Amino acid sequence: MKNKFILIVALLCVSLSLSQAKKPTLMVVPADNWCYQNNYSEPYDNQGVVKDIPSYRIALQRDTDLDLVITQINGMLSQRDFDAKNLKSQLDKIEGAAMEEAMRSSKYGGAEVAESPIDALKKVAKADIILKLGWTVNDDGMEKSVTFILKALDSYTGKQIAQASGTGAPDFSSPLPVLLEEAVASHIDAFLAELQTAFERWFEKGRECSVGIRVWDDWDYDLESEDFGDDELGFLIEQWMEDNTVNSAFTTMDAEATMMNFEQVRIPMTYERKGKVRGLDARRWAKDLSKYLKDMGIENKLTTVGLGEVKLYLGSK
Amino acid sequence: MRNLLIFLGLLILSTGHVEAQSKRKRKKADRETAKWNYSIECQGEAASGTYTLKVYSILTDERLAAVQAQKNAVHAVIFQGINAQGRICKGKPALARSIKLEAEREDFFKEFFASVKRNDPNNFARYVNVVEMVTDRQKLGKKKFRIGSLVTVNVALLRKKLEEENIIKSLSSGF
Repeated sequence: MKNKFILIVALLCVSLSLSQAKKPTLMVVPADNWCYQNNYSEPYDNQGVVKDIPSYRIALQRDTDLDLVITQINGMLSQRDFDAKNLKSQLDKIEGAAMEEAMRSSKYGGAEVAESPIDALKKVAKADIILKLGWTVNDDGMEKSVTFILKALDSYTGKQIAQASGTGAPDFSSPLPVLLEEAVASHIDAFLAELQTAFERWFEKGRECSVGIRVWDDWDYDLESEDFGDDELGFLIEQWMEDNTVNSAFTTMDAEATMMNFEQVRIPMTYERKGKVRGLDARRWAKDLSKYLKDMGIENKLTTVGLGEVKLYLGSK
Repeated sequence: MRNLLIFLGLLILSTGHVEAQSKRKRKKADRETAKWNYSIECQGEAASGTYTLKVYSILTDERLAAVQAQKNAVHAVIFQGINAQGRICKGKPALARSIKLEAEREDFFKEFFASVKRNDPNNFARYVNVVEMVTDRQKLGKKKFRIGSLVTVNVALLRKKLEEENIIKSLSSGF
């Protein structure tokens, strides 16, 4: 009996030690401003409106220093057990996917959906955190110095969660790559410490995402209907949100008969299934809301926009 | 035979004396350590993850300057962080993410900063190198010195060690 008890405790310990939240994926890209300054941009036709957008492909092809800095930052991240996605391989992946898409649309003659190259990159890379870097070289004729800026943006919310910036010591002999290497090395510790603070905040207060509720036109009910419980549907959804967010933290931005928007929704980092604790993302979390509505007899469709925004369409799939 | 006995006696006595002396010296060094009386100036980053620091240690025995400078440098990197020094050096956050860490893990740090052999993996000396033992010397009182020393601290290795010992959390902890 005693041995059995010890075995159960040991198994529990093992399963607990294996429980982990989803590790965020990171990707380093050049900052938009840096791309424009160096003319690494290309025109993009967004439904008739032509505007310049940064081209990471051109930047990587023309700027050897960029590759060097990205590689160095990736190396430092991997030293700290974080494998960043490589920008170049993600761009290659997009090209492959685009070719596949072109073949498919010609086969079925389907309408083409306009998608900017940066949206395509976000879709393919699915990085939770985008690290944007840029630098300028200050040259007074005698000495050179580098002003360096690195910021981390949470893809879920677009909020900045860590930053490092500053101007390095002036030097009259070192070439630019050496100055850049020094800039990265001197900023990275403070930057990663800020990033760690953001991660700790996620574990403590939950990961932030936004939720949208929409109603199909042909549905017989709306969010003010009282046919699904003891209150209006909109309030029932709010109650579910209260019960399923960390510290009931969320903000109702809009609440109308046909739509609701919730922002700063704090979702837990993990959830339990079949006795195992697993990493939770916005889509998986919203699946429970979808199921809750389905149990009330409301057919719905769950979609995700980016990584941290989920939308539920009520009325049909 | 008698001479041999005297020689052996003297040898034993002198060995005991040396042993006692080094023990006293270690105790003295540990007493100095407990005060943590120092100031730090960042001199740059030789390579990624290695800080070059100038340590000003306040000591009662200047022979302890080198060892105390090493301890102080490691202590500052773990608990205080390094202040920015103009354009030479960016500010470095402390490895400890809680101000209570030193008190909470007192036993570990007592052993870590103890004056024992350099090649002991649980010892501070593995992560620090003395570049210049005395760069500045100032007499503050009858038995009080302010000694400046130049050292390098391998912060990457030190962080790894503290993470392995679960003293500090790694960036990927929880994931």
